[in-house]
Amino acid sequence: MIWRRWTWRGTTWRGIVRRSLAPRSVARRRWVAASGVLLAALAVAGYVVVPSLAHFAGGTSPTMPDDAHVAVPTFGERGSDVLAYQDGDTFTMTFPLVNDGWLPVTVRDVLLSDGPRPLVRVTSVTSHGTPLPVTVPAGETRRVELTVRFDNCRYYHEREMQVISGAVVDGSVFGRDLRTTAGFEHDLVVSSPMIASCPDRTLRRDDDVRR
Amino acid sequence: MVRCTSLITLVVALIFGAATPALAHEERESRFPPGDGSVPVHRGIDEAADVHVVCKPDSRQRIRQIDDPRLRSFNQKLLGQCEFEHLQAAVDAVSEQGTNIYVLPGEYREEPSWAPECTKDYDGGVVDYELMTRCGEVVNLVTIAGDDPDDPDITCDNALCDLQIEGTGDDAQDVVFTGGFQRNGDWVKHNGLKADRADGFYLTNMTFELFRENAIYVHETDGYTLDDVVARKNDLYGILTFTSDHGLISDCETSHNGDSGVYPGSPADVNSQDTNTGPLERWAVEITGCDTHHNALGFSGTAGNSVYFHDNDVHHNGAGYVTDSVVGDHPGMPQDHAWVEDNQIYSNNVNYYPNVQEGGPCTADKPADRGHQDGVVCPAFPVPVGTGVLIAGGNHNFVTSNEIYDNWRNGVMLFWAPAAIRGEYDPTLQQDNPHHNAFTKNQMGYQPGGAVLPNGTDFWWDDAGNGNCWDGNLAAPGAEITHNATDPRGLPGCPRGSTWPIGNVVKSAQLLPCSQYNRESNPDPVGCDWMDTPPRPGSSASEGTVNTMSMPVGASGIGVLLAAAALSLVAWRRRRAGTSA
Repeated sequence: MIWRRWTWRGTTWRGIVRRSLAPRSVARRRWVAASGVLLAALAVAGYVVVPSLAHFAGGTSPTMPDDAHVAVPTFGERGSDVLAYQDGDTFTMTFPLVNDGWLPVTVRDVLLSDGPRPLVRVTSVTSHGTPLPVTVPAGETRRVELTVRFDNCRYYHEREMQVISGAVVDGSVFGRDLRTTAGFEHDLVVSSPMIASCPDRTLRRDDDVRR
Repeated sequence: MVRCTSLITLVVALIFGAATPALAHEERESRFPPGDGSVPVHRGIDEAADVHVVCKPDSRQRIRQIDDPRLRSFNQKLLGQCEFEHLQAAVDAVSEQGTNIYVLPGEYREEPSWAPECTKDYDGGVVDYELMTRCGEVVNLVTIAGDDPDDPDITCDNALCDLQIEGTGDDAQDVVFTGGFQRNGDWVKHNGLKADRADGFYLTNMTFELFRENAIYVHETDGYTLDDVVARKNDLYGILTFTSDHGLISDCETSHNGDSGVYPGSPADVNSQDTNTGPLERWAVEITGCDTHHNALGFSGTAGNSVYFHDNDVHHNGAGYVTDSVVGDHPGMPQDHAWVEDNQIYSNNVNYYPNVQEGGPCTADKPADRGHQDGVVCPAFPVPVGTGVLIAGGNHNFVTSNEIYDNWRNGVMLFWAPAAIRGEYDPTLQQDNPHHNAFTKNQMGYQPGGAVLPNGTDFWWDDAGNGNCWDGNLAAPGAEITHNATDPRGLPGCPRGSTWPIGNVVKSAQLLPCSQYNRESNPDPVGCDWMDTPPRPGSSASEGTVNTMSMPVGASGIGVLLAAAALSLVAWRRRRAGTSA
């Protein structure tokens, strides 16, 4: 009877409570679900974005032996350092990797070109004399030393040049693979020599395709 | 002081550049001949020390079609003396200097030269002179090698000196030497005819076509004449000469070549010590009466020194007349002392670069499938399409009284080429060009009949160099000479010329990205617009920033250039400071 008294327009109290609670429960579930989706999206976005938060400062200047290059500051929009190609010769090029991004980067390799058969081929890389990998914390700098070999002129014709605007850095950030470029202050420019200075080249003009 | 230092630098460069032997085009190390020869003149049959005649089975029939009765009679007489079916056989049979070889009308393939036994071990590399004498067939359809390889000099001393080879048809196209393609689709030969250390060589009235490199190649030769020859449809050059002297190339026609129609590379640097700018009293090669068209470049000459180029038609190429100090290992660097006069240089706007880009005919695997035989051109060298005359680093060039019109990018371009890009790394040599070039009395932007056909810009200059000057150049009535000089007073006048060696970095920025061109691996370099066809001047797309001038100014804009240089220096130092901080 008491329940009857508490009925309103034929609806029991329990029903009212159930009704009043039911929408909130759905909303909560929806809220929880939405939050989950959002967190997942953020996690995915973060995972995607992580490499872009890693960055090496541009504008570094490699140092190398005097007989390996000459600076021509008024050649090209950014000035040039012209390398003296001598097929098979090697020299050491040194420059700093300045991590001006937000995340630490583990550097696994450093190249001077990401194209096939570069005229300037990196044969080994160390950082402060220690083989890679090396981790460069955010805001810090690590010097790298590249052993570089003049190579592959066999795949270039004698009037061709290659322009190197920066170092290609292969590494990882929180497990994500990373390939980024640390730009040089000036372009490095290297010319392919004539055939007599390029032992393996043939006279076949279409024999120098780089694949 | 800067000027003084630059002058000393230039002199040092010229001295050492002239003395240093270097490498030829995809060839052996080369050097200049002694220079005591002379340009050979045509020799009649009665003046010849000996006579050989070459003919084909159908020559008799072809001779009947000769219009000129005297010439027909001469051919019929020669036909009775014919002993050789192949030119190389006749060359090999020469036993006396001063021999004439007559080649009767016909189509010549020189099949015995294709794959003789001596070529079996050839590995495709550099062909030294000794191999050239022993087995020139490794690269040539016909070889004339005049020097004993065992002596230390490069002077002609065997029976092939003063050799004259003459086609006997009505015109050059009656005697045709074709390289063409093997069954596997590869080229038959690199070169058509090569005259190597063949002093006194005379070639006339013949056609050479379809070779991997050059149709006619003259190398380390003192004294040669190439008269009334046709060189067409080759993957590189029509006529190429290298490290030679006392040359005459006259009344030639060159077309559809992947590099240039006529290329006198590293002619003897006979004016390297001359501080005057044209006209010349002595030149290494004279090129006149030639019609060079539908090539990637009409004319070119790396280290094109002491070239006297006059009364030629250079038209409908990608670029017209090009000379440079860009490519390494050419004796006589930096380029100097070309004399370019009374030529018609027009309509050099044909863009062949799409041929080597994706989907173009030149991307076919086999040379035979690329369409060379139908006139397809596969450009081997990057040049700014739409340019009449281009001097990429040169000194003392005299460009005068030419008619230069309808070149949609630029009528004439002059810019600096740092010595390092040609392999000279001494810092003091880097500004050794472009200096003391003069551009005078040229008719710019209109045809001889008066029709106005403007160039994109008449004179394009990167503001670099000492002593460069412009004077007395004529524009069409009512028009003005257009140029891009930074100095608001215009281009510096003659004789004083410009007085500041450093160029405008922004203007010359294209050289670097464009230099990465490779027709197989990088046919459209990022940041390079040279491979784009420029809009026809006067069309809505051609609106740009150029200056005009009624007359050249008497003095250079040293103030403006100094200001520009100072700004560049400030920017440079700021960048350096930012980096070190």
